[in-house]
Amino acid sequence: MSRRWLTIGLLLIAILPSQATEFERLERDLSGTTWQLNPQYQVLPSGKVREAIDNGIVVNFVMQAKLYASKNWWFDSMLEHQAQTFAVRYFSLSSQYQLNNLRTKEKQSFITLDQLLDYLGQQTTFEFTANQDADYLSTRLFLDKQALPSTMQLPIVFDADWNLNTDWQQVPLNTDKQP
Amino acid sequence: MSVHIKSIIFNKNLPIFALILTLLMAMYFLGTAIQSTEQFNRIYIWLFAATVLAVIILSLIIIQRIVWLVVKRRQQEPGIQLTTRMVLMFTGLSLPPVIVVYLFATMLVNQYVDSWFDVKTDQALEDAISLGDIFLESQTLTHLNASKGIAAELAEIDPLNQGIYLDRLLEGSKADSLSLYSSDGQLISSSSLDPLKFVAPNLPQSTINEININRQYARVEPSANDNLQVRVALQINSNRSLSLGQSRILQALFSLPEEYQNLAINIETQVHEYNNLNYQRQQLKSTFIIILSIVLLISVLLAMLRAFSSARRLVEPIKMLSEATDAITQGNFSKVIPVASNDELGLLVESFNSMSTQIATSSALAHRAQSEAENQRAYLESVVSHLTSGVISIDHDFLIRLSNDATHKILHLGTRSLINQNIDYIAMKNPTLVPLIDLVKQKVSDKTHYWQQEVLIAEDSLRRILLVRGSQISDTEMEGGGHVIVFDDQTIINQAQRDAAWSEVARRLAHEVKNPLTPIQLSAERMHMRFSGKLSKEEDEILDRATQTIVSQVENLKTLVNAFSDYAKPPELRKELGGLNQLIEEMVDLYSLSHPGIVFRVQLADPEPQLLLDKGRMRQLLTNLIKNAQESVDQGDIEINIVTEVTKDQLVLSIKDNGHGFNDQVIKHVFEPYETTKQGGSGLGLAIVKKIVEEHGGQITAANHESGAIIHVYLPLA
Repeated sequence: MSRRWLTIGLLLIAILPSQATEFERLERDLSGTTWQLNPQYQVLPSGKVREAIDNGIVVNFVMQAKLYASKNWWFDSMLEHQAQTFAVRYFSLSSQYQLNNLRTKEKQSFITLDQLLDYLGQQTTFEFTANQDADYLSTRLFLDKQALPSTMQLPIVFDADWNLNTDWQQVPLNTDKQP
Repeated sequence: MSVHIKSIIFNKNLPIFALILTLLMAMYFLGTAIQSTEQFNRIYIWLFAATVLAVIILSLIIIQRIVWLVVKRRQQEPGIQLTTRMVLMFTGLSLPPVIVVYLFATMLVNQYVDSWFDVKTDQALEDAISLGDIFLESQTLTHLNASKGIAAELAEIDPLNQGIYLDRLLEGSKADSLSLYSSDGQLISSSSLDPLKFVAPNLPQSTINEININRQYARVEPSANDNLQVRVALQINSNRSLSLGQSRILQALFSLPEEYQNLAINIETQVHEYNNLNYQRQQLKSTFIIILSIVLLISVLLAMLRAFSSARRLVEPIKMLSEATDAITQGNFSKVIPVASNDELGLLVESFNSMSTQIATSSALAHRAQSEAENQRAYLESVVSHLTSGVISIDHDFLIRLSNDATHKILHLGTRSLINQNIDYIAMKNPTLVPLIDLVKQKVSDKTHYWQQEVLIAEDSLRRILLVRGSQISDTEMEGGGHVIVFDDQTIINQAQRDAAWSEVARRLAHEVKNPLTPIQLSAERMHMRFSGKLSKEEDEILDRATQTIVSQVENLKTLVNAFSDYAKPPELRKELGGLNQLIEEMVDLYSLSHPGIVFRVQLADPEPQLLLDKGRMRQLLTNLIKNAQESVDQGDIEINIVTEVTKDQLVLSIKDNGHGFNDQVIKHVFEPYETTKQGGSGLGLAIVKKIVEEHGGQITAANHESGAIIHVYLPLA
């Protein structure tokens, strides 16, 4: 009996995606009428992702942030939605990794991929107009598989190593209000 | 035009066509997506999912068709064998070329993809990268040394004035820009060759970190416009006493020379693309093979679908022909098959339609003729059934072809049909008809054209006379020929004629005999009065005896004559409503008093049924019957049982004695005049009884029982 449950457990571990990206916290700062919201993630890519990047595959990460106002007995109202897409590319000649913010066109180079991902996970900031109705921020970070070359998309559909997605994380904005 | 559009819109194959079109489009886009990374990248996985879904739906359609095929084969539907053969043939024909193409295509894809990559190219690119690295390292070193000189110069300048000197130092260097930062990375001052396009460069945190460790940073890195630049960062320790301990960071950005820049970009691009493709090599092969497999599967499935479609198109007319043939077999000649094509099958269908139309016309004519014949037959049967004479038609094999209701009634045969029965069946059902059947068979065998004969049928106490007439039907008049026999029950007519004859005899006898009787009697009495006492004693005795004999015989003759008179001309009936019980009791009382030796057992119906009776005639009936019963007993006690009972609408009077009964010869004519079993009887008793019964609308039968005779009288109730 216990052996059967052990087998099932091992299968589930093999099937379920490993949590390679984790939400850590939300840093917020009010600057005038603007909220500077900095969701911080720890991104730990698998060896396959690292290998792909080192072999010249451009990997896109998308960080999304949504401001919500809670509603009783109904769906919460989304006040604002922003997303930032980052393209990570390796340059062979300079042996550097480039992080390209496709929205702001800002490019930064890093010696190591970990430095890049650390910067991506820690330094990405969203600016929202301060809204008294906003109750919580919903955010997530994911690897955009559909931006990968088409030939890669099919084999990685069910590959847990390529699953760098987080669930939607809800973080309250006002201490006196619950999400 | 609109009909054509409607036929397209409502075509049941339209969903399948749409599915196939979608599938082919998806396959095209898949192929395009593999080649173009930008255009269809984002919908690639959905295209693939749509393709797989379409293939699954197509497979389900094929499975449904195969199941349909299996079911129809079990039902042995017409044309299903041909459908099966066509499906197998199409599938068998499509598989080999498709598999060969698939294998060759797979091999070619592998070879084609592998041909992109080889060791020499790998080595060349690696060498190019190594060469670039060497060059860039030398460039970096050069720019680092130059930057160190600038840093040394800045270290001698008052930190407050360092920003002013940056422009001058920039002019003397090959840097694109020089910037001064505080130790925590805050920009203090910056100088650029092109101030109009200048954007203050940032100092990455990673650079600061490395400076903190190594006091210097010098690396080639991609610039904002994807060119290569050399970033050099150095810590400046001011030598001025006022600034001791305040370190600053100098960042110098150097772009590569134009001619090297392009080369470097080319190498970077080619290496990037080569590595990219090399990394995707196996995935590219897998994707191509998957798509080829799907193409193979689609080809086979489409071939099977086409096989089903073609088979259905081919088999449909055959199936319809089969159904139409069945319909014609079952008598439905109106089945017309639509002509769907102009090919040989269409010609066959047209021929079939023409044939079925001709059959329908002929059938209609035959049906009309048959209907007319049936009508005539029904008319004839109706006429025959209304005849009071019995009619039988037989063929040469003595099989009855026609008989009417009167036949059953006259021959007492029940209700079972005689049609197609041998004529002997009649004799078997009613053995008394054997003389009739023998006569008919004889006449038919003799081939007598026309004949007529009376046949006596004896059924217990009834004697019936049938007048039988026969006529031969020749072969020319009716196929097979035959015989028609018509017969009538002449019993009543004969009886009436006989009764009338007897009445006439009785009337004449009474008239001729009664008149001389009185003169005879008077003459005999006068003669006795005149000569009595005048003759000798001996002669006188003779005279007395002779006179007495004449008188008594005359009396007897009078009685006889009166009986004949009563039979010949009965008094007018005076019927009145009443019961028979009282009359029976009166007669029994009378006889009991006058004949004490008779034992009467009377059982009368209670309640007493009412009849229309002439009591006088009914007394005569009872007297005659009781007298007959009394006189039938030759010796011993006389027992007479009189019973009345009601059945349906009749009163049945039964008088049973313990006498000698009727002998076989007499019982057939017992109710005719002069039929008697008694010595000295007139033979008119039961004839008069029968006449009285008939006058009251009843019937009478006579029979023997185990020890005597029994008479049943049936009288209608009022």
